[in-house]
Formats: sequence, structure tokens, C-alpha cells
Amino acid sequence: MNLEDAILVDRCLDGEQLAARELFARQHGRVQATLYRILGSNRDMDDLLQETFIQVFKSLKSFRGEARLSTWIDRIAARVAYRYIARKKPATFTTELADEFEGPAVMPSRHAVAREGVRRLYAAMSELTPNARIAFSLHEIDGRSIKQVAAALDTSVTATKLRIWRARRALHRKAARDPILAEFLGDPPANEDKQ
Amino acid sequence: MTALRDKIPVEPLDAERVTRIEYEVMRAYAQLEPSVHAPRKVRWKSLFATGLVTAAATAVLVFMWLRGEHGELSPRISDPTRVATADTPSRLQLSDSTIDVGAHTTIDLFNDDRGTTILLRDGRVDCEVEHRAHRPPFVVHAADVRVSVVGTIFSVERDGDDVRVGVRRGKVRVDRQGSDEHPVYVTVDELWDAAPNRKTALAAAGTRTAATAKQPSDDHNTDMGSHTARTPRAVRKPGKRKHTLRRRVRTKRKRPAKTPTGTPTIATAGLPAALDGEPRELEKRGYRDGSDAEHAAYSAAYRYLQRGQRRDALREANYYLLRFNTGTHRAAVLWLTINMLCKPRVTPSCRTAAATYLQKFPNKEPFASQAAQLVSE
Repeated sequence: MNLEDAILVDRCLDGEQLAARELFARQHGRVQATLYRILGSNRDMDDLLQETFIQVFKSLKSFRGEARLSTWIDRIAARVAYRYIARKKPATFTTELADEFEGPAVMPSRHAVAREGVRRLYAAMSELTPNARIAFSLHEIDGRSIKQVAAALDTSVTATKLRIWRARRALHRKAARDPILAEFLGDPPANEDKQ
Repeated sequence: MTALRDKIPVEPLDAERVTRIEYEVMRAYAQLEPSVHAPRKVRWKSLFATGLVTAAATAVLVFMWLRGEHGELSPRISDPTRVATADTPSRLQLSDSTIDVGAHTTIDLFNDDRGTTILLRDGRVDCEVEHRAHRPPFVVHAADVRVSVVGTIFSVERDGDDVRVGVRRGKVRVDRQGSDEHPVYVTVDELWDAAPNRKTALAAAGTRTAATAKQPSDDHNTDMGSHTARTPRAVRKPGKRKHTLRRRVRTKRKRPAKTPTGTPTIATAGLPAALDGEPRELEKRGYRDGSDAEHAAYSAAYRYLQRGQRRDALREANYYLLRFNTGTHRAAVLWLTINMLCKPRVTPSCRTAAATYLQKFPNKEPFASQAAQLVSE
């Protein structure tokens, strides 16, 4: 935690509305990006963002300052996302749409393929366990290091690696049957399919 | 599976959604307060007084209701008031601010006890706002730009995504939403432009915003900006009630603790001498530019702390640390901050402040060794 964050946290705990607004203004972009990358385009995004910040203010008293404020807030956002995924039924994913793109007569634009790729990726991710999904999205989509993901999930580096590996394996199995998803994900590592 | 990040861009939230979310969060935060803060001692006298005030207020409300005046109550906080002007500008008078809505301008106004928020959809607003130190915040959103007011006369112009902020008196803080950039403080006679994200002197900018239109004067009651022919009437959407100019019931300002009992013990030996005077006045001097602004800001923090006004002292110290990056009193202000954060007990924030002090001024005794002690506690 840096000094600026320390003062901000103290002012928030002191009940200063202006400080609370400042904390929101500084962090909401980051939290939204985290939630978006875990959950994809989502109509409940506003509620989730709101829930995260309410949770942040509720728990601020217990913030020990061992991690950076942004890491601590990420952890809360990941927990909110976890609860959301856990209470939602996984969406059923069909490959019907894939056939549309396979026909030689139809040559969809790159943009359309990319958009469809995103949709299929999140549909495939919805079948993963919440922990694997969050670890995968923070590492592979949000581009964070394993250590940062482990900090955000409050777990060990080994457990995080395992979750990411499981998620990758499941997604590549899906991709083997879905060329659009396979193109979107890129080539799997050589040793991955042998597992 | 690399570069997925580039393939999946985050959909940004628009200013209106952000404002609504912020509003809900702040509402929840206000309700959280009792559990968030350290438990206070129950004071029966204050409880009794609060009970009396509540009973009196209820009686007045019931009386008004019976007289059929309840229709004049202010609108609910969650309902914004939409103000859209045609060829004629309009003026809105709130309890502690005046908002001049330019011609061909559309705004949404959220106003309640927790603050005033203006969502500038298009056009220009000129605002004259009293100092916010003890008042709820006043914020203007325009595209992704957020202008927080400290206490000032300023204008915000929006043309699509191009936003400009001009300040004639005081200071405003400008944040870009969803950006990691540091906030920009726009002060007297400066103009900030969103497109190049830079400040220029108002005179050099060569634009005639409302903030520049009026010559500097102490008379702030005269008509603002270039609005010479002003109709005090806004064109509103049908069904929206006129914004009532209700005088806000203010809570009594907390008196500073008396010096002998409320003064925290500050280890002042070795600190530079602070300027004499009222901390509020020193604070105002600290906002201005000039050679003594830095010393005034330090002195304001010092005097506030001396009076036991911890919150004000912390705010001022924070202001100093943000603004005077290479200030000569930085070590002293850091030490004051440590004093504030470490009482009544050593908290994580206190340790962070002490660690920062050690990192920046490892040889500055006697405070460095005390800071080291705090870090190791």
C-alpha cells in the first residue's frame, strides 16, 4: 500500500464522503475491466460493480495494508464474480452456429469471426468451475502474472497454475470440435493435448 | 492462446451509468457508516437533543402536510432533473451554488444532501460554488471527464467528446474515467482541454469561455459569463417538477476541540515553523500559486492538527503531498501525516506512512528512528 492509498483508506474509514467518491473514481475502471474479463459482456455488470464497491466499503475496516489497495479490491471483485458464476446455471453451448461458418459459400468477415470467437470462448468458459474460470480469465485474458492471479484469488501459486492448466485443457478439448473457437484461441501448446 | 487480451476489448461504461452506480454506492456507504467507523461512546445528552430535534422536525413536516404544502418538497434523490435550454440560457439557484445553463445545453441534475452531480450531455454550464470543505461534493460529469469542485467559479463545455474546463476563481479537480492518469488540478485563470489533456493559461487559450468572459471582480452576485440577457426559466421535460430551491437544513458544524484537552501531542521539535493565522485562511493561500503557497499549505495542515481537527489536517496534508512533489516541507508534512495516522493506535496506514518516511528521508533525525520503530511495531 502506498501513502496516497493509506491516506485515502483512512479518510474513507473516517466517514469522509469525498474520499469514498475518490476511491470509487480511481478504482471503478479497473474493477469493471476485471469483472468484464471474467464474465464477458454482461447485463448485470452495473449490479456487480455496485456490489463490489459496497463490499469494499464494508470490508475496508479489515484491510490490513499488506497488499496494494488495488490488489485487495481485485480480490473482492473476484469473489463477487465467483458468487455470480456459482449461482448462475452454466449456459448450454451448441455447435450449430459453427456449421454456418464452415460452408464454403459463406465467408464471414474477420470481425464477425472474432465476435463469434469471443461468444464461444465465454460459452465454453461457462462450463468450467468458477475457480478455474476466474484464474484462466485473469491470466490469459487480463494478462496478469500467475503470482498476481494467486494474490487476487487468495490462493497459492501452485493451485493457480493447476486451475489455469485445467481450464486450458478443457477449452482446447472444446476447440478440437469447434474450428471457430480453435482459430480464436490459437494453436494449443504441443504437450497440452497429450495430457 | 496468447494475446487474448487484445482480442477482447473491455466495453467502457458511459458516464450516466457510472454516475448512477456511484450514486447507489454512495447511498450504501452512507448507510454503512456506523459499522464502518470505530464505535463511539454513547452520549445521552446528544441523543436527547437529537430526539428533540427529530420530534420538532416531524411536527413541522406534519404541519406542512396538513396545510397542503407537501407538494413543495424537493424531488426524490434518485430522480434527476433534466434541464434543456433552447436559444436562451437559464440559471438554477441551489442552496450553495448557482448553475448557469448555456444556450442549447442539456444537463441532468442530481441534487440531495449527499451532494450535487451534474451530467453535462451537451453544451456548457457555468457554476459558482461555495467552498466544499464542509459541504457535500459538487461534481460535473462530461463524457469521460469528471470535474470535482473544491470551491470556485468555473465552466465546463462539451462538444461531443471534446470537453474543456475553465476556472476563474478557486480550483477544480479533473479526472478521466477509466484512466490511470493522475488527476489534474485546474486553478485560477487556467483552461484544461480534454483532447490534448493539458492546461493552458486562459488568456493564452484565446477562447472566450464563461470563466473568462467576466473580468475578475469581488462582486460574485452579478450575472455570470457572457449571458447578458438571461431568463431565469428552464425548459423542462413535461411531467418533471421544477427544482425547488429548498434551503437545506444543515447540521451544526462540529466545533474544534478546546486546545488544552483536544490537542494531540505532536513531536514538533525539528519541524519548520508554521505560519500564524486561521487554518482556513492558510488553506486558501495554499491553493493559490506563488512562492508562499507551499508554506501556507504546510502551515494549514499543522494548525489544523494543533487544533485537533484531524480530518481537515489529513486532507490538507494529502493536498500538499500531491501538489508539492518536491516541496521543502515534504518531510515535515509526512511526519505530520504519520502523527495523524498513528493515533490513537498504530494502523496499517500508519505503518505505510512511516515506511514512506523512512524510504524518502532515511537520515532525517529524530523522526527517522521513530518511523523505524513504528514500522517494526
